[in-house]
Amino acid sequence: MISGDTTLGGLLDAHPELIDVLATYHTHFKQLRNRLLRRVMAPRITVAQAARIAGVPAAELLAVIRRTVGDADAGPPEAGEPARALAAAPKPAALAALPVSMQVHVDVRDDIKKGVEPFARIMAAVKSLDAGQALSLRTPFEPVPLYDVLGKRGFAHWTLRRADDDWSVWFYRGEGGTAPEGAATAATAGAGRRSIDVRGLEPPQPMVLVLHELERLGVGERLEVIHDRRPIFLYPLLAERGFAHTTDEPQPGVVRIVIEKRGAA
Amino acid sequence: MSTPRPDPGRAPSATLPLRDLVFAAVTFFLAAAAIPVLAGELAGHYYHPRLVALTHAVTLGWITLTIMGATYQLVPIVLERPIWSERAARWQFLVLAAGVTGTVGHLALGRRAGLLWVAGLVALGVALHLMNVGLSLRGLARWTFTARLLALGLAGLGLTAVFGLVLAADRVWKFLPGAFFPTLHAHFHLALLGWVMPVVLGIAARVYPMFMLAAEPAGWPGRVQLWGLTAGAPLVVSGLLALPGLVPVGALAVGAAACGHAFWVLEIARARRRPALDWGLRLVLWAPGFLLLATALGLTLAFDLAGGPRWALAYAVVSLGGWVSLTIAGMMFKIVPFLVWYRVFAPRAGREPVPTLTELTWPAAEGAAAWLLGGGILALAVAVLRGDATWIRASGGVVTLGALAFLASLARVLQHLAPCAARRRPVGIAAP
Repeated sequence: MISGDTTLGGLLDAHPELIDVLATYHTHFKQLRNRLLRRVMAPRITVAQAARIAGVPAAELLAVIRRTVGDADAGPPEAGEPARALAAAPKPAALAALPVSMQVHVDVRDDIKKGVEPFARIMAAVKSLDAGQALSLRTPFEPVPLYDVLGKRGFAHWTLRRADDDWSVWFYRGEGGTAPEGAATAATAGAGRRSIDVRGLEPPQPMVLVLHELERLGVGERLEVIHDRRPIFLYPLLAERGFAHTTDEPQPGVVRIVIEKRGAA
Repeated sequence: MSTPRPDPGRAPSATLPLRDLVFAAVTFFLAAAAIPVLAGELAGHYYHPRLVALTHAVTLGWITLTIMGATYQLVPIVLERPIWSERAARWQFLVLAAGVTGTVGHLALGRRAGLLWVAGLVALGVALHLMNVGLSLRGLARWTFTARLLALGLAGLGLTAVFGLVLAADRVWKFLPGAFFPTLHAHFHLALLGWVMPVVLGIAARVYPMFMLAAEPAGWPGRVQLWGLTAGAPLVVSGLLALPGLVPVGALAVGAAACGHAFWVLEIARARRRPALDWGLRLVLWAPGFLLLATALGLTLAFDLAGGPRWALAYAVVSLGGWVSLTIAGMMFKIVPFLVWYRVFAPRAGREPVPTLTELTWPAAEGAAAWLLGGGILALAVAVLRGDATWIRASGGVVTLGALAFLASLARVLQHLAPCAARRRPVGIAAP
């Protein structure tokens, strides 16, 4: 009998028409039509996780799947996990204390859009993390299956939904004191200053991230941007939006831009 | 260590490079479409009025205009210097576009009388560009690999324009000493090795790592490129003009520079953190293959292992059509979407969801363009080497289809500008 723990892998092998059903809940399930993506990702996603990605109660999706495949033995819908609350949880202290220089950014939105399997790239990035480093992952949907996969490797996660098709998830070592000593110092020194590291991102992603962060900048706060070059195209947008900025190079090849609301002390 | 420097305070206009790039892309399509029409001429000697016109359409209208347009975007990014005068750049585009159109037209029609005037317009456009970029580079803090090669390229461009003007004058007054064809070859190589190659190699070293998310290359291949071109281009040109013994030496130096570039591109591709390659990046990775092939053909000609118009035409097709054109097409697949995105969507970024660059593009058309151009140009090189008009016509047709797909994919990106133009003022001309 199909349950919340049933993986999509076996289900889609037997009932490929379910992809269309899933796609009505979330367009990114259309990517499962790609044979490679289906082979890699579907075995890692349970029905309950798919419901979470789609933002619907697990029982609802389960009932629809059972009806579609003609599961005659289907019992009453499981209570399951309710639709996820969309309000973001506060940023965990261990992650907040982690300086951006200790975060490795991986953006797989383009990969998934092009039908390129992102799992290998993500796991390679996880494997390359030094002690104390965190993985900052950008995806077009909530990567629920990764929570389990990386949870088993000792990673906690914190999720930020930027838009329906734009998610950021930080995977970091848990609260057990594995954060580096310098991180706490950085957090203390960073009161009133937020920091974002956009190195290694393809244009125009750095600009988008910085402008997104600026829209959420509190009164009196400064945003420190770590970049690998002077963002010539960003400066006029900062001026238009009423931000003052200073730029320096703390070390060769690293550019730091500190941005604040014009007129703020 | 802190090295504060004044911020430029303004970004380059998004529409400024686009004028040059769109003109160049249309010229490229027209030049490609002329290949099947000129198949008979291409099967014969290359010194034919319409083939000389075709060559100038490619070198001036397509390659030079693209490089100039890209320079107006890339100089501020890779050298962190604002363009000295965007107004001068706009005038320069108009002057050069008129000059190129007139030059190609006069050459095609074989009209000598007005050629000097339109060549003068080209020279004026080049002078405006040299002044503008030269003044933009004034006070540059770091003379990096890219900056040095760009300066070398600007010097090569100036000399090529003067050389072209002298050749145009010689068509009227016949005053140049020496044989005609070596002089013509020297003009071609001054443009290719003195202007195009330094700029492409210099820009590639900064821009390819940016798009492939790789560390910037460093080390001996850079020195080989810099010194290979600095020494090789003058040796080849002076050898063709006066001292033939210098040609093989110069060709070896240029060949070393080409190998250094190909090595770097391979290094960047290997070290990239971006696993998926879009069509733009695939084209710029294919292009060094054509460069190595052109190098082999060039060395063959330089060492007199082969000769004659067939080999010379194949060499021109592989170098201009293969290496330079595929590189430029690949970079335009990256640059044009960014410029359009910046003009239309950057003002909204952070405040509302904005599309990614990929969402502005048409990957199917880009893929078709890549395969048709890559395969077509390779087939065209073989066809002109054989001197077979039928095969030239067929492969020229494939190249034309590739150029059409290229133009269509750019048009798809550019159509996002339409509502923007009606709604809002330009973004790029920003705060002082």
